[in-house]
Amino acid sequence: MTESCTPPRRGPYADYFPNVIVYDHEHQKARFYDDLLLDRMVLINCMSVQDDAVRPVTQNLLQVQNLLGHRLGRDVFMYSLTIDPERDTPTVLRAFADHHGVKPGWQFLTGTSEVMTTLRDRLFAHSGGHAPGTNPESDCSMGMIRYGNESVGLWGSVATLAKPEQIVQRVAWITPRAQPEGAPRRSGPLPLTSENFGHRVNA
Amino acid sequence: MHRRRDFLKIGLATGGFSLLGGQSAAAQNHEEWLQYLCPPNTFPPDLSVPSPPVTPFKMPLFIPQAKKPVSQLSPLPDPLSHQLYDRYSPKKFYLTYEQEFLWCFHPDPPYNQGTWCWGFDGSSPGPTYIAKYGEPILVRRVNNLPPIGHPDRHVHFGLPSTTTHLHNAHTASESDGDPNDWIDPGEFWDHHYGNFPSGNDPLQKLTTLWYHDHRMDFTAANVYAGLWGAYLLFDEYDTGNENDPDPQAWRLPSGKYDIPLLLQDLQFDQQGQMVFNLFNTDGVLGDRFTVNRIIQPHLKVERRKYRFRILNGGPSRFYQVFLYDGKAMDKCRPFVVITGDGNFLEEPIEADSIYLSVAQRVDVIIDFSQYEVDDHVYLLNLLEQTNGKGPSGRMLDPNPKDALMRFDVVEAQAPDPSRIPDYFRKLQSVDLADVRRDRNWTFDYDGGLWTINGQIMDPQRIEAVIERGSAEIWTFRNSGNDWAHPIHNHFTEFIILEVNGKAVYPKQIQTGGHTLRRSFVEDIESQRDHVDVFMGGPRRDVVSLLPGDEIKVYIRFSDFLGKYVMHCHNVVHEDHAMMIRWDVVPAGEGVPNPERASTYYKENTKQFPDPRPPAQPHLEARPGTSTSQEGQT
Repeated sequence: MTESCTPPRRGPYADYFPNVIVYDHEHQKARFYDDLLLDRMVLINCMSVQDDAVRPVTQNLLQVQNLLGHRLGRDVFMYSLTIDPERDTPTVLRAFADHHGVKPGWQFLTGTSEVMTTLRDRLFAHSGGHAPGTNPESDCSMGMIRYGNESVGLWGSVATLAKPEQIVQRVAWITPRAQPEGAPRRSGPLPLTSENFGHRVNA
Repeated sequence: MHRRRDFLKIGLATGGFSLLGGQSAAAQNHEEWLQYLCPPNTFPPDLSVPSPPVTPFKMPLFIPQAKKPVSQLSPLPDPLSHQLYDRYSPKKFYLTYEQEFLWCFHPDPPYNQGTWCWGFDGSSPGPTYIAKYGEPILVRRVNNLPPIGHPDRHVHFGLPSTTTHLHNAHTASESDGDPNDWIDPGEFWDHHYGNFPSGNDPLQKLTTLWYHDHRMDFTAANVYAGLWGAYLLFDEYDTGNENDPDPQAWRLPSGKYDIPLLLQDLQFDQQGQMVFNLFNTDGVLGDRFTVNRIIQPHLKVERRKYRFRILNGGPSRFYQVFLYDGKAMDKCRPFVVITGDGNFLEEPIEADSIYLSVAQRVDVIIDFSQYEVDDHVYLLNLLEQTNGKGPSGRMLDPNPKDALMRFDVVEAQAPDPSRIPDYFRKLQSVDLADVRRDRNWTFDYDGGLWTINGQIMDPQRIEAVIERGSAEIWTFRNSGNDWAHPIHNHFTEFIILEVNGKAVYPKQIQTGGHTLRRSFVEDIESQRDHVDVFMGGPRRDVVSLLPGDEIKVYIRFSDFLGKYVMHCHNVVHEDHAMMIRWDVVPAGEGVPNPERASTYYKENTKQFPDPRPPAQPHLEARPGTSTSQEGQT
């Protein structure tokens, strides 16, 4: 188990995330920071098999999975952290993932309850007043997805139940791009008569 | 004595290596290490490692330059892209660049090495726009920030994709800086500012505005990075000339005696670089107070009158400021308040203190002739706030060392020609016959997100379809019992009708303890009304929804069509995603309930010629040289 103590490589949030051991629904062990975050673009949400019946976030994320297409597992990864590690063992998560048709690149993660609580505290930091509870309606981490690009240290959040197109759009926002060349280009406003009343056309 | 958790904090602050150096052999299982890595209760709050200390009042106040126009823009602006462009054709053109640069917040180390930040034209706050009613302008903003993945990108927490909102100008939708009208590096957007009052009603003029980034999901980070500045509007009364011979001119202090004071609290790491926790969704506080992005500056002031335009630039802190002479709080001299949220009060009033929730502005006159040469006067914040929820309800003990800035009084160079008029302008009329709809907006919290009527921001859902030329009554209700929300509406000012069930009359102002006062203690010398706390006049663009508050306002929608937003101006709440979209549509085409934009505009093709559904998301980054406007995401 000493590998959990390996000093994290330096990403912008290397000090922020504990490099704890988690297990995915394929029973694979991983270091949360080194193996799952570093040099990747990720979408992270909290869920549990039991709560998903009440607040069906996985169904929405399946559409996200499909929209991501070939980028899922290449440079974009999805992680669903269970908030109920006692019940959601790798075996239970495997059955859940298989049932939904989850593809490679999307991992359901579990671990000791201490590890899972710690990760939620880090990913969904609050300054008091929203102690994580078991009720999905009041839980402070259940409503949103953290999306991030740890190689450049950019992190944002979007609602788990936002339209799948709007969730996927966030990946484009944090994707590295080339230094622009030439004279600046007009982004807008667009001619009023042709497009969406002068505004950009977004998802 | 160091406990284990202290050891952890030190380890994290210094890069983490001390966690492991020479000791890994002792830890044979990860359970043992977890107690270092994962304290069982929670992690330390963001401010547990303080920013490096500074000597207060060492550095002079930075005063942003006035922005200079250019003779022409290339390529030319497109008149067909702007509503009412011909009627308000620009008389001046401005070109400004968003950039990353090193900024000196303070001369003490490590700040003297420079702090990477963002701004306009190498300045943060950006240059000040001096605009006049009746003189429309066009501002071309070019994004020259380093793109994501650029090796020389230093402000990691900001998204180098921006949209600039002119808070709270009466601006066409396409020039409003909508959260989704962003420009990526190498792109520009033309913002047309007609500089005419709403409905061409001179009573609806504004005076102190500010521009700031409004990028979807990243407003807090990008404004914190430094993308903001002041925009001042003058007219034939407030001429910006204290020597104006015109008898109708108010002759308020002008030129170098008219100074914006933009407040922002920031946190720095041990290298003097800004820290912003993107994982904090409650609200981000700093422990270093800046005015015009200098930590605790000083300003030499002559023994004469000054006009200061004080703005709370957030991201999440509320202030209550006093003019402290360093000796006794009961000797604090009052501010002469002339505007609230950039609107002239009918009459100036005197206030012992000013309460500013995020984005609120106030113009004050301070007459330093009431002080002696060499006196020090402190702009002191006494409102305690320990987290993003809002003020704690307690007041801090006054300590000059904690002041936001210090004024150092020197002899006046010349007689003071400026004046404070007894009367400015009447409040705009409230005509209830024009009210088409009443709407209620309830502000709450759900699953880590901030909600309005139980919803989070969906740019494609129109929460209110509003008819041009109509008025509406909106009720803002705070459902939280310990959260404060400064609620801001774009496009047009509103008149407060009721606060917590109590009617507000035209001359009333909101003052401490949520109470409204008509008047007050009349100051014998000045004959002005006097209040202990000024929380804003009756005409506003921000309401401070303190816990449990309910505030009813009257809003009139004139001139332009298109989409706008209303949101919480604790910008961390706004980003997570306490904001709604509302649209102005032609008279007779309003609908009572929220609609999806694609559905609504499909059924109203006459006025809105583009019924196409939104483009499919575009996953790959566009090539740097792309010129396509299609399908951009």
